[in-house]
This record gives sequence, structure tokens and C-alpha cells, in this order.
Amino acid sequence: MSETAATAHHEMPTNTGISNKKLVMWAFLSSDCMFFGTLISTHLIYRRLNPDPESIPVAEFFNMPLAFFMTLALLLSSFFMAMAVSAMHTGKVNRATANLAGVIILGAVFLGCMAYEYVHLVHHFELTPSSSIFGSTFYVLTGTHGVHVIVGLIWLLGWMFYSISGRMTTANEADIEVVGLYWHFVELVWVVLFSVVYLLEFI
Amino acid sequence: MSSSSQPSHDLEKQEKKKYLAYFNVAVVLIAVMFFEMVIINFSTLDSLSSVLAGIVFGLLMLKFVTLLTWFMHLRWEGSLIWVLFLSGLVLALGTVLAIMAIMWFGHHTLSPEEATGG
Repeated sequence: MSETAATAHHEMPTNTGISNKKLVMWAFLSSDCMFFGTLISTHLIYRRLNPDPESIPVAEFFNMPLAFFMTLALLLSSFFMAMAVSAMHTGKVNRATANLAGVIILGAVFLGCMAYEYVHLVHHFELTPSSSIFGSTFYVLTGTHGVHVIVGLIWLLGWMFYSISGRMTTANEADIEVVGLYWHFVELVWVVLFSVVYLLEFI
Repeated sequence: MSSSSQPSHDLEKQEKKKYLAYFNVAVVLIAVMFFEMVIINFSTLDSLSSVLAGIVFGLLMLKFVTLLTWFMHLRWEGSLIWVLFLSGLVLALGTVLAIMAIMWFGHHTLSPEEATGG
């Protein structure tokens, strides 16, 4: 990054030419890929190669319209996040705040649906983390993703309050970009989980 | 127009293009999702299961790459970010494939003689 550009974005120039915050976030996301990689392989092994001794009708457990709705909510939230980052690039802080509100609402909708799904699975099918191998891998995998969503929502709410209190300026452009990267990664992981955990059960 | 307002005008034009691109990407991803909804309705046909699995994985790759390059801005980033993220992604994929291969090909367990080296 040139000195002029760095000053314009209120950031110190770095050796790499990339903001340190952004670099650290990409490094974290790279390591998180490996974390989810191990969880996904565990799920695939127990479902595909060494399934439960007692056959479990997993496809009957899933409420697919709900799963599609959850995917849609997260996808739209990702779209709003991209718009928020774009608005910050052009210095439109109010527009960015409005888009962040959209992200938070849709993220909360996703979590609400996930909670409903869990309650439904426990009450109607008695599927708990200790009831079967599928229960263990399913709750660990989707639960870990859910925790990522919760962390993202807390982070976004922090920026929302910061913005509402009038303290967010164009100087926070890189901060919103970093939280945006995290949120898009959460969507990226869901895209994989949706295909591997849900769709493959029907094929 | 003053020279100082020119860069901000260009930036705004560039961001407007990006808005449109994001919208198009979102529409494509939603269309893919609906296509997947249709696909699972064919799941009762056993003869098509491997084809359907291939389509699901193909669409998964499409969605993954689209999100990564457009929404996560990777197409506008330098090579350092690419290397940083792809190294983790390759390691993760390698882990998944290696574990799956070990479990797939190694269904046999070590015999007591093999385990003790006898």
C-alpha cells in the first residue's frame, strides 16, 4: 500500500502491503479450514464408511424446507455483509450500518431455526449427542458452526452499538472488512455442511 | 471537476459495479440452491445416485469458489492472501481425503502378530 493510500485509510503501512488485521484474519480462517476439515471427515467416516450398527433413518429426521430456509437466510446475510463492506469503501457509514443490521437479523433468524431444529430432533426423534454416533457427529459439527455464528453475531452487535453511538467512521473500514471476512467464512462452511450433512442423506 | 474529487468518483463507480456483481452472485447462488431442491426429489431413483452425488459435489464447488472469489474479495487480493488461505484449505482437504482413504482401504485391523511385530 502506498503511503498516501495508507494515510487515507488511517492505517500504518506494512511490509506486506496488506493490513495486519486482514492478514491475521486470513491466517485464522486458513487454520479454521483445517479444524472444520477434521470434523467433516469424522462425520463422513461415521456416516458413509462405518455407519451406526442400527440403521437410523436420517433422511426422515431432517426438515428440508427448514434447512433450505436456513441456507437462504445465511446467503442473504452474506450478501448484506458484502454490501456493508462496499459501503464502507465509499465512506457511506450509515448505509454500512443499515446493511450490518440486515446481517444481524438474518444471522439471528439462522440461529433461531437451528435451535428449532435441535429441539425438534430431540423431542420427536430422541436424537441427542449420546443417543447414536450420528447424533454425536451431527451435533458437534453443526454446533461448532453455530458457535461460529454466535461469535460473529456478538462481534457484529459490537460494531452496531459502536456505530449507533456515532463513533464508527471511515477509519474503521478495515475492521468491517475483517468482520466481513469472518462472516463470509461462516457462510462458506455452511455451504459445505449443507451438502455433506443434509443433501447427501437423500442420495 | 476538481482533481481531488476524481479518485472518489472513480471509487464510487467501481463500488457501484461491485454492488451489481454482488447482486448477480446472490441471484446465482439462490438459483443453485433451488436447483439442489429439485435434485433431491430424484433421489428415489437408485440408478442415478452416483450421478446426483457428482452433481451435488459439483454445485458445492461452484458455490464455494463463487463465495470465496466474490464475497470474500479473493479475486481482488494479492498472491500472499491466496497462498495463505489455500495452504490451509489444501491441508484441510488433504486431511479429509487422507482419512477417508485410510478408512476406505484399511478396513482390516492389525492382527495380534502384526501389532507385536511377531
